[in-house]
Amino acid sequence: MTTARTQRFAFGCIWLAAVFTLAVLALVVGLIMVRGLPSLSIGFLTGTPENLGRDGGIFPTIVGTIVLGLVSLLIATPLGIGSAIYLTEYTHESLLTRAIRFGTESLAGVPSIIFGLFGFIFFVTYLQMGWSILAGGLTLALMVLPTIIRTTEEAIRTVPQSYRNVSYSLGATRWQMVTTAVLPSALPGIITGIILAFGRAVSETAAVIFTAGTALNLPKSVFSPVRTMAVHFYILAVEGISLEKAYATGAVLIVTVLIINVIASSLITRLVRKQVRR
Amino acid sequence: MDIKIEFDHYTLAYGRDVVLNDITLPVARNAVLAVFGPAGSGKSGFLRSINRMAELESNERHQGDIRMDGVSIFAPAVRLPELRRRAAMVFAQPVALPMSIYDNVSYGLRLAGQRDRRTLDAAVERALRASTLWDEVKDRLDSPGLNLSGGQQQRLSIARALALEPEVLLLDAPTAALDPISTAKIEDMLIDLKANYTIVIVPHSIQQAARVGDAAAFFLNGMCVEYGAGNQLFVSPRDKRTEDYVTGRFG
Amino acid sequence: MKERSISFILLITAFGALVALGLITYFIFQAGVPLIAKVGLWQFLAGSTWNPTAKPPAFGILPMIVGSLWLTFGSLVIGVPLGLAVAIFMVELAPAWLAVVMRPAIQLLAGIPSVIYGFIGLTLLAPVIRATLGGPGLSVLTGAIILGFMILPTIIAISEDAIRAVPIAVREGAVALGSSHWQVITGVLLPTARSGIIAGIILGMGRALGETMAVIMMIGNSLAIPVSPLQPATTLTSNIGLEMAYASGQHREALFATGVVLFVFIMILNALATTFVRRPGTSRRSA
Repeated sequence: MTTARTQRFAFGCIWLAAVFTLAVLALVVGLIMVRGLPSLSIGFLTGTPENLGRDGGIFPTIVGTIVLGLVSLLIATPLGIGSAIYLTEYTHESLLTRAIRFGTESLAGVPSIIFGLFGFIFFVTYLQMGWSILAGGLTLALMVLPTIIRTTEEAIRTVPQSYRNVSYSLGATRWQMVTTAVLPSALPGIITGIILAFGRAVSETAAVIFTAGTALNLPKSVFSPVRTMAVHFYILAVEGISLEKAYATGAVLIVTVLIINVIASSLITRLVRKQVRR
Repeated sequence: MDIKIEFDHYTLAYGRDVVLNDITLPVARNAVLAVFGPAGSGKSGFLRSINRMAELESNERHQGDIRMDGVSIFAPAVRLPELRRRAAMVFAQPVALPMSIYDNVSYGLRLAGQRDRRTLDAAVERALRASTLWDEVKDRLDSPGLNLSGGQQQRLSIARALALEPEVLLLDAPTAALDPISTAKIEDMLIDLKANYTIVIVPHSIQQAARVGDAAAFFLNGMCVEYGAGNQLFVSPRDKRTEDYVTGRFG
Repeated sequence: MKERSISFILLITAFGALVALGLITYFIFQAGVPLIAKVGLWQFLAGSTWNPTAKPPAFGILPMIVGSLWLTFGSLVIGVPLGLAVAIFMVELAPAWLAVVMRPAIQLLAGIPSVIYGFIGLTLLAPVIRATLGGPGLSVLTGAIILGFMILPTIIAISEDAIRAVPIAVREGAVALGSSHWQVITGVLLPTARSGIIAGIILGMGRALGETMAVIMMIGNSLAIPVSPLQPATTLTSNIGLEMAYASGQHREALFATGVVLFVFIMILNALATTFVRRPGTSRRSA
């Protein structure tokens, strides 16, 4: 084959791969939406599940998802942002920062089932929290911590060095420099990280099912067990309770994830545009 | 001579890199000192030593002393934020922080804990007038500083420094990134400002050094080769190296 | 004084991830290692019978190790060529408008909950495989295909970064020598980006190895060692996920022991990946 023909063939394959990937994504989203939307209604969103979820709605699982996500962010956000600030603004590269980075990267690679096992043995059993929002939230917090640390670090690194110089030269202390010159500029990036972390928490099943439980009641306190939408979806599908409700729940999940992604990528676009302008 | 700042056998190094070597030099009060020399001669290190910004480099070391009003700036009682408010700095690249014009100018005062709106208003207007920017921006103080042109942003940077009512202005090639008209505006402004401030400037050209300096110091390889009042360095340099440099025969 | 305490608090938060990793390691090992010690490491890893509730119980995880390996490598067969192609597409071929669509699309691919993928495997792909290729449908093949798509975003993101990081001068050098675009890609870009691409593949492998709920839904959960991709299987993760719901006593310990094995595998993969990823500039000064 000539060079030109090889190239044409190779590029054809690559185009095909890209289109195929998009098509699979469209298929997954489309299938769940098409089969799920018809059974979706306000009543489904605000109703209580009956007969294990065979009938009724999914309101408690929506509450469970949101509460669990928020609790995990409440814990992971300050930890993650603090950690990122320390790594970027308060220290030089050293053995210590390498150790911390190793910890962050390793934590990011730990599979969620391991988080589930750990959350179960540590929070649920050892600290006697039982299956609860608190135990699930703490487990999820550890899981999303690397996401928040990384995105915050990246966002902080895009802040021009000149902002720091100006701030210091006008008499800022280090913390003043961070809060007035660095963080405001890095904010969109940090928020993107937090939103993506929330997305991970919404999607998660393995780490949640063994720590927050599968209770279908509305939670009363952080010590109540909850069932998230993803867990509910899993149980409906695997235990063959109701395919129809599974599709409907899946559709709600997909829409939630879509919304989260749209917000995140619009923030990223804004961030990129701002950098270009500079 | 009424001395404001005094370098006393001061040596500055970043790691093994000696930036300033045994500098002894007076800076006169309410006058403009122009510090010039080729790239890497230690001019910026000189400026950054006065407000101790040099210490932000992790491997900074220094010897000797610098005194301001007779007191060592390295004395334990000296607080860095206060020192930097007394000796405010403007950089070569104009930097508008991503906030409104008003917030940019009042930034240093707010860092110092000033919250009173009327005090801030007055300081902002005074600083903008002094930096000749007031008439151009007085109607849009709330618009982002980033929207200003390069020359305006540099005068904004100067206003931001002036708002602190510093005793010393440290200008690190403040017109390097600007067009001739903006440069002329800033040079005129400097002449006005020296009545109230001690100014140390790293000019972006020898001509500028000659235009704005009441005194000049020629730096080479971290050493102060020659120091002289008025136009002496440019008209009748004593050192051969200074003469070569100002007449363009350098290197 | 205030500055000091802030700096101290930040230092403590910085240790968060490291402390979490330490706690996870300690508690998983503490719960799982005693059983491995009792059964014997070799017996545990190479035993082909898993019957934790029988008398006497049998704790051999070989079927799950084999299942995990089948599934992981199967998913790479799908995920690597596809992921690499998409990464090349994004950097080199995609027209601007399409790149704008692709990026969020791939982000969405990563954001879709894994249980949704498992569900697609269960309800859509498994019946197709059963009808066309035979077998029960819920099988290694079904799991591997779907997992292949699930690890795509990881492979794409890291390969894309690696390809983009190739210096323009390197690329221009090749163009100047008269190489065609495709020759530049295969001769210059991919070799230069190789270590990053390998890191992406290893991390994708880690994701496939660690995936649990989706695998449970697709793989048929048979404890027999699979000899064909059309057969059902069990993986290290799926077995933990399935049995944790009701296990107690020694059985539960055995699941944690399985977790220990998984954890060690993953840590080895992570360590491999980090040695391949070129570290970003470490000389950068803060302040």
